[in-house]
Amino acid sequence: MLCFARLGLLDPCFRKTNDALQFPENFMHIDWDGTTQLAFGYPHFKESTHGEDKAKQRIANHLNIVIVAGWKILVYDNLDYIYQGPDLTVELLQRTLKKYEEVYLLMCVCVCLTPPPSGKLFPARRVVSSG
Amino acid sequence: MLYLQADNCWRENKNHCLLCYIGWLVERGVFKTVELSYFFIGHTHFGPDQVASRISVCAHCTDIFDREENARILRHAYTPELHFEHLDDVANCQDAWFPHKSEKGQRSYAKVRGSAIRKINLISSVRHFQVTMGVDPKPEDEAPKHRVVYRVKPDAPSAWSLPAPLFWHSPSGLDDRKFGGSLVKTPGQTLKAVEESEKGLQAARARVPQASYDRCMYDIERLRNPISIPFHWKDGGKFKKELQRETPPEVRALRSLIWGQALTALTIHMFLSSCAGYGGRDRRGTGQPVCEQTVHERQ
Repeated sequence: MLCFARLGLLDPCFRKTNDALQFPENFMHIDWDGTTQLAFGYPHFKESTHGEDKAKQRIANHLNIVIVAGWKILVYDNLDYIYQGPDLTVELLQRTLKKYEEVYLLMCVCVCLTPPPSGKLFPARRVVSSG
Repeated sequence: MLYLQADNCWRENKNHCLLCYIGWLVERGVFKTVELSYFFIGHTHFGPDQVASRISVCAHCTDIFDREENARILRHAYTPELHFEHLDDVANCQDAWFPHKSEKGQRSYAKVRGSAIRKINLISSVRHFQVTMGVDPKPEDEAPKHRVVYRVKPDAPSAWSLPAPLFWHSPSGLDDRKFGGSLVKTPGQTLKAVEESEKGLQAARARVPQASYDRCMYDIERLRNPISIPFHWKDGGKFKKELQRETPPEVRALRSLIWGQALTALTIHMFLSSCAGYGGRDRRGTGQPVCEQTVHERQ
């Protein structure tokens, strides 16, 4: 995938994802979308009984899926009393960036503490066989 | 640099509010550049669609009684695991950034109406936005010329347009109080949903465990009486990096000194423990370091 990206043969969307995966310290890629998967909201039953097919809407549940490339997938669910609008999108981004920030700061500290890869300072222990 | 990819939906994604938020991030120095791209009509499925598909398959063959079960069951619908979070409150950004609203509910982007962002013409015809710090080629006043600018292009192969300023005035100076309460529908707007939900829940009463039923009733109560809370972003939505920048240099110097000493102590501790485990400690009582014992035994 990386060589395709360098040759410019990759779709722009995948190129951006690839950048975020290869160089996470310089690039970040987020894509998101909203969905409502439970047909009648919850309680949701795998088997519908006679009479339920008269489509009584129960508690509607909206899902917003946010994928941060190279990190994790977040799903925000909300009830029907929240407006589906630009404020919701801004809230999702803000929360996602806040969460990512925690990990990123932690990662920075871990990078500082990581010993050098050469075997001089922290050589691998030799296993001594008892026999 | 931040890349954002979204559906081409004007109500949620392709609007001035999101651009204002992105510009705000750039102005605060959280990101140097943000690129916002939208799919064209009839686009192929992308990552979130794939996740939604797996969620649908998982939900199709499972009983889900309440919201907590929803999160517990559906988190395993996809690999890697999904992380669920419930959204109770949504900050009301529009009222702070474009305070004027007409009787029909349309927002005004005029400077005299107090809007933070300028109106972007033909927003529906472009699919790529780039927001960055740049030089405004046509400054209208004596304000500093280096400011948040945006560039657009209709599709990926095209060239970026000339930069144009994004803001009338910075949204950074806004007081938290201007954001108002979190955005919820009024009880009148949710009345129909509440009635439907109650009927639906009553119809399914016999098949739902009591604990789940109670949780559902709690959710219906939230629908009936949505509560708006004050602006809830911690530190006004600022990130730790920004807060660190804002702290006085003396405090920062003291903190870095303490951190430096702690790190040095930890490194020394790791080094010594490593040495002790490798060759420093004589575990067999032979008087030789362990590494030499190994060499000796091999010979």
